[in-house]
Amino acid sequence: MIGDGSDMLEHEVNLNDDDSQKNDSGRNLVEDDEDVKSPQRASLEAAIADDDEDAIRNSGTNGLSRLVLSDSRPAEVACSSPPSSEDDAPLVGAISVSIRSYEKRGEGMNAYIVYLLVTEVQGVTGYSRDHYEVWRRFSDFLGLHEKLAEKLMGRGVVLPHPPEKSIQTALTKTKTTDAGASKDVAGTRKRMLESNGKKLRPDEAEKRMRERNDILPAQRITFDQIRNRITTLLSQKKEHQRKEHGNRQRRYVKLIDDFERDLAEEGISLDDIEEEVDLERPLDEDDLIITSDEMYELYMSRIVAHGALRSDCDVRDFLTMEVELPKATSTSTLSSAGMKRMFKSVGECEYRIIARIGPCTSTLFNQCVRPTVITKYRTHHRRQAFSKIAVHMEEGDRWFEQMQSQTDEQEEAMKRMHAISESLVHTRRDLAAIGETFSKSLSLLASCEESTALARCLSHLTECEETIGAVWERQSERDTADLSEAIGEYVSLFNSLKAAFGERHRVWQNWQTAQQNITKKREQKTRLELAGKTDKAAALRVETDEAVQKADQLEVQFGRISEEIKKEYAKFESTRKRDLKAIIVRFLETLMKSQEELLKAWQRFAPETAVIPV
Amino acid sequence: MEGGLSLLLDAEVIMDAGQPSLSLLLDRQLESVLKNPLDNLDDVDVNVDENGGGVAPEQRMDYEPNDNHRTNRTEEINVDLDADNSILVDISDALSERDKVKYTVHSKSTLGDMKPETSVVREHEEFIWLHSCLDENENYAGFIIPPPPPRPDFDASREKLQKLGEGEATMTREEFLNMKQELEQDYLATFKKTVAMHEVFLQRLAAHPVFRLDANFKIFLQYENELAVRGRNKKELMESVWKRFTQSADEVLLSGQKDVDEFFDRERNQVVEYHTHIKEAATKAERLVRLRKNVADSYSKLAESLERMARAEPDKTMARTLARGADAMQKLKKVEARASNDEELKLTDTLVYFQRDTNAAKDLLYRRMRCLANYEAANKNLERARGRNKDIPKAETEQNTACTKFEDISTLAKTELKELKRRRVAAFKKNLAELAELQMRHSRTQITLLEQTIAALKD
Repeated sequence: MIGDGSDMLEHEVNLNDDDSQKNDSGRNLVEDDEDVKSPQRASLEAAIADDDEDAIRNSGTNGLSRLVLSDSRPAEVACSSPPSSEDDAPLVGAISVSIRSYEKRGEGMNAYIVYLLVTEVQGVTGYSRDHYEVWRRFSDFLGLHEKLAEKLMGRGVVLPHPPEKSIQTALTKTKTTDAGASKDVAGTRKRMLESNGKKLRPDEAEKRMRERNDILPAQRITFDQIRNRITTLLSQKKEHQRKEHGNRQRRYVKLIDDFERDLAEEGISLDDIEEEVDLERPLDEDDLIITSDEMYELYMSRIVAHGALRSDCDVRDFLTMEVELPKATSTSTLSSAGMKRMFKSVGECEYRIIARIGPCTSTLFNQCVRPTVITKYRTHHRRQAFSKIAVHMEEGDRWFEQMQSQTDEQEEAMKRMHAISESLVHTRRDLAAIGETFSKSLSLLASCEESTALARCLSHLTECEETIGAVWERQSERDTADLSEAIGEYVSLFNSLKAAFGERHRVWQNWQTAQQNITKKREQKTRLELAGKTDKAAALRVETDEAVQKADQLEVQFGRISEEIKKEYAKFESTRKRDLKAIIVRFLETLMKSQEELLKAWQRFAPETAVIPV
Repeated sequence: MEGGLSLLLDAEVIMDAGQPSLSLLLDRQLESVLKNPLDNLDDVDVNVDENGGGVAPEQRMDYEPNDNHRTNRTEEINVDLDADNSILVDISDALSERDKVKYTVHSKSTLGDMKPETSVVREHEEFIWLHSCLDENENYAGFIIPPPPPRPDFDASREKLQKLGEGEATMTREEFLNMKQELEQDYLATFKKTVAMHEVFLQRLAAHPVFRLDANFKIFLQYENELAVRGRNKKELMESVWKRFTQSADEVLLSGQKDVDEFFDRERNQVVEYHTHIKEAATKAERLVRLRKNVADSYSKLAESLERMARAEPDKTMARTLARGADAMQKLKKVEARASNDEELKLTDTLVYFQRDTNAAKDLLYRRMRCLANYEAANKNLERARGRNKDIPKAETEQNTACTKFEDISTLAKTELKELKRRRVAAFKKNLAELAELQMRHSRTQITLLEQTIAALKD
């Protein structure tokens, strides 16, 4: 065991390398994240300074804990993996999880949103009651994911990833500190959602929300804010990058200035736009919460649909323990991991904010804000991907070879679909926006039309166009939920699948290292024996035996993980087929509904043209 | 009908053989389609639907009568041919060449000094020439001069054609065909539109009691050869810009002018206000239609992506589902594209058309204002002459002509403005009714299509 040290050391070095890379990227992230959080910078400065240290410390200690983990993994797998026959058995009983409502807890920086998870169980082992209600927050979901990942990834389970935290929720947290009203809103919302004992369709709920006046206080995003954001985003760069970014920044700020001036020339004041944005719709906040709690629901239903996962003790605790769960360390928003998560959503959020302001601004956004944020995110991801694939694996199993390339292909196709659906959503949203302004200018035209009959007809047309705009608006929301997000979830599931493949790869690599280790030990031993140093050779024999044992263990693990992945893949495939079909059907159904509404709108309008006397 | 189909079939055969000279073929093929769209209009459209496959035949039938470019006119102008001295004009045919469109203008006339029936070939520039002749003629100062038809704009189609040529190597056959269809449809829509606009311009002149007797109009209709009008050269271009500029400056100067007639005072404010609003609405409508077309494009991208997925899908049933989805999206795209084209024709174009007419009315009011100012200046001159007791007769005649001119213009303008309103109401009524009807029809088509697809998918 002592002699094992050298081997272990090598292993350790490897790992540390790996970790230092991670550490590095972590650090980069922290820097990048500083850019991201800059709008809230003033109030956060102190906290962030602490956090940075924290993050570094974390990633430092992480290396150690990881090492210990990887060392002990085989043993853990051996003792904790449940008999695999359980997985083969058909699922007994039924379990379903839904999110009934959510509310805001805490104040100021520490405020967070908790979701009410309602679990209905029938005859599943490990669950004593048939009804559970627990409050869980975002970090709990992440904590659960981490626990599961630690435990099950090594076994080749395809583990779904919880939804990304939306920046909007984070913004709400910091912005609504003064508003006690927000809690009421959450309350009303909850009541609304619970009315009739069942969940309302989101669009219905939202309609009711809008009818009320006490919607969440509007979030004002002004041109100044956008400008500031760009400035801070770019001014946080390192010295050597500053020059290059300085130019870009100036260009962006100039773009916004130009835009502002153009608007002024057209006689539109910024206040109008801001008011339009702010007062009529408080950003996407409410939509976003709705869609994202649907995403949580989807995530949970994926978990409980999985035979091995539903009876996992962590999942059970997560669903049944009514007390708050112990806080997971790496899941707080301000940790580096949290920042990484926020990072992605900032890009999306800004896009949404700007998409609201109007089509012209969205081009502006595409030109200026987006590239920086998105590119940074992408480079980061690419870097991660690189660190994963270090050694080429010679695939002995045809099945895996085929499936991996197929998965890559399908993932690529899904990503493409996702991009297209997103652009569809945005175009449709722009269409809705322009429809609204068009109906406004039509009503102005109607007001100065001299023929009263035609004026009346035009104002009916105004109404018709308004309805159509609203239909497109709703459709774009449904597109987001039913198409874009659903496909997005599949992209993330494909990632999980690939992670499982990667895990198998990792085990294989360990096994290979162990085998090389044996050979090395044997050679050493022979050399020692030839040299006549029998006592040392004897010690080495013990070591060799241990190494052989370890390699055997790894081989078994490799076989098991391969088997498990095959099973998981079969399950994945069947759900994929079902879900994909469901996505298509649902999308077509919403389209049909929209067309029906359009038809009605035109039918209402059609007779109006007939009454004009000529 | 046969020509169009056999041509496309021909093309397919060659493409199947995988000949490398596809681009050559493409040119030939497109040229023939593009060259004389009005001829094989129906053929191409039928073809499109057949290739799309599966749109129920009665739906296809629905579309056909509507594809006649005659229905694309924003305004219906009726001329009673039985009456004496009437002219009937239509554009019977149009030919698209590389950089211009040639319109065959066909006219029938019972006017004594005109040939009873003629057919001549005219280009867009010649229409513009005719308009500027009318515009510059002082005798017509009291009329709303029908605005000239806008220049045919095939840039978008040309761009697509180029893309089609470039992407030809990388595209699959289906994609290629799809894109080709799209191109043809776009092209046809633009083409029909430009023909309709040119035709309306001529018909308005023909229906007008004074313009139809204009010498230049007669030349335009009857002179067999090319009119050989050249485009404006730089100097003339500068002049027209200068004219615009002085006019707007003059408008500012005249804005202080007191109007003697309350009707015109009110009318002027009204027309200016109306023009701002209709212009605003027209630009918005244009953007709306463009975005709607983008949505349709997204549909076709979705279809494409679904189809690729279907092809890569190892599972048979899944592949079929995906292919069905792709098919539905492709068809939806077609209907949606048609719906947006129709919206453009019926709504946007009406708005644009009357924006231009209102502008012409604005010009008329300006000319009248100018006359009024001249008249008042002549009055002042006369008074001054009387005071000085010099050149009285000259000033008197000047004052007299200015007075009659102003009065003529005022009476004419009054009727013209009223006529404009009447025409506007009628045209809006017609187009809005058609808009509603077409949109309903497209919605219904989409609903049936979606119902069928959903039912098929759920099976």
